[in-house]
Amino acid sequence: MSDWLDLVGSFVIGGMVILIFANLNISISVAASENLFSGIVQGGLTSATDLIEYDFYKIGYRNSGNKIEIADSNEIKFYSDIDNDGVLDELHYFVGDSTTFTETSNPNDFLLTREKNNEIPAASIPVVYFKLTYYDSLGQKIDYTLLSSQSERDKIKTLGIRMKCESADMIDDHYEAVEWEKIIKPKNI
Amino acid sequence: MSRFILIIVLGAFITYSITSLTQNKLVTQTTENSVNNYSQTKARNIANSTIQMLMSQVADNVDWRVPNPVTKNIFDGQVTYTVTDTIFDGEEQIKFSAIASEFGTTKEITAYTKNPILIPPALEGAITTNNPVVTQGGLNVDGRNHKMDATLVPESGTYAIWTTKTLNQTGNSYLGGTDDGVDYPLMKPADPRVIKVLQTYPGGYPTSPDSILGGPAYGYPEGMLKSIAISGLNGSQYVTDPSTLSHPLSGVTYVELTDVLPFNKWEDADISGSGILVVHNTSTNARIKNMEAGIFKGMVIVDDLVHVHSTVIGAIILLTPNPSSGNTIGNSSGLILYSTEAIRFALLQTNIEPKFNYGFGKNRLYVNHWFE
Repeated sequence: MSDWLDLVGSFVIGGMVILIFANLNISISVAASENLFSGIVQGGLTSATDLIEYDFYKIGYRNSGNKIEIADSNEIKFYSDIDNDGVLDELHYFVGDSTTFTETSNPNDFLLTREKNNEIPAASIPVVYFKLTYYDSLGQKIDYTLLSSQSERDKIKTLGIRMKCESADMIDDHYEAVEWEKIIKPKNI
Repeated sequence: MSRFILIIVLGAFITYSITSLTQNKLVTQTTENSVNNYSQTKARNIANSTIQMLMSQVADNVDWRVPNPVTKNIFDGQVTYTVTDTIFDGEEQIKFSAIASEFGTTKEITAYTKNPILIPPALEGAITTNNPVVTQGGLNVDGRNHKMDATLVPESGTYAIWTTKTLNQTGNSYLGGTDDGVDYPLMKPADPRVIKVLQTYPGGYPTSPDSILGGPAYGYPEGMLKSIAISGLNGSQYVTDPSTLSHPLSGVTYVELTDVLPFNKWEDADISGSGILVVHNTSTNARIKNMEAGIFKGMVIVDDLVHVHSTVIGAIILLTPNPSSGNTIGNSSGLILYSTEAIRFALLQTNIEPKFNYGFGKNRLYVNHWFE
């Protein structure tokens, strides 16, 4: 009788231990995946923000003409001698459509594209949110509808950038997200 | 059974260890990203702040330069900077360079400013007056900067007319100038950005030729211009009767007219020459009526001026608050071209070192380019 009790007790205790470790493994696995994807998204975002900062701080550098040609909520085209080689460059940032971007399983992401001198995209960054805001010398927000006029675009002194990236694949019913926001005051405009 | 559990426990331990190491690596990378981003931002701030401080230094002393790299600790980081004269985009400029280091991150920023043009602060425009101004006839006043040969120097000029009173632009009179580094061509009516009316001169409008040049603080105590003219330095002349002047004018030409009406005027004046031309008396009612002939390159300081039919390359400043005609300039067919080169040339004729520095309440360095 006692042998049977030992056997049943061992099964119960062993089963509980197995369940605990299985649950622990699953939790660790999910946490590891979340961290991995979060790290990947953060790495991608910081690379993108490095590029954006590099470009945006130089808006209008060595350009005596119009500095900004297009200024919209999700698009900007500006001129700058970005390479400091004496040749003026045209930089164009614009976003694509989430329905046409099917490289990832995330239905919300779309490409933020950087074009230099109308050449093949110099960079394409998958994002789920990208918004630009423009401020005049008094720090007042300039309405997008006014920015179709060059004289209004000439009033831009500060740019606000907000960007959000998500993981390409879903982890535990959600996408890992990283968000970045910055105010940039280019000194050449 | 116990062996089986032991295998599971060991397996779980190995799995956990591997996962933990991977997690640590990820967390380290994430932290490195944050630290790098913070360091870059801080290095940028250090470099930008350094350049702004260097510009302030040059504003206080326009001759201050740092040709050899200097390294200093600032804001918990380190910065190496230089300040040099250079030619950039075909223009003489001052180059400010700073390389900042912070937590192993470096950021280099270079800025270029226009070479400061030292001119007396009282010269607020191509024509500066303390009285109402009327421009009639075919007078053209161009506040854009020019060389002494009248060629245009872009984006470095001043207003066409600056007055404490009013301006009436009539006839075929055209006015142009520069505001905030932007040139505006001769127009009628003139672009409002090149006309400054009803202005207040800080500390009170100058009342004598020497105070226009800054007074004692700038090396011009009362009577200095007159004494230079009397000395004959660089061809300077001092006369009380303008008909005795020798032409071309040079150095400091000081015409001290009587304040007794109607003998207080120099009529049909031949001003051909260069330097500083002063027509003044202690009652500030010395008058030129009809600048009739010649080209003058430099500064013209007159109490009262009626009709300009000649060419002035430089600047004109008038002293009287009560002009004989109720206003100054009036019906004219002349040309006034603002020229910092001509003003600088005129100032050099006095052999007094210019001290018209930049800084708060005075002119500022104009930043051309900022590469960060």
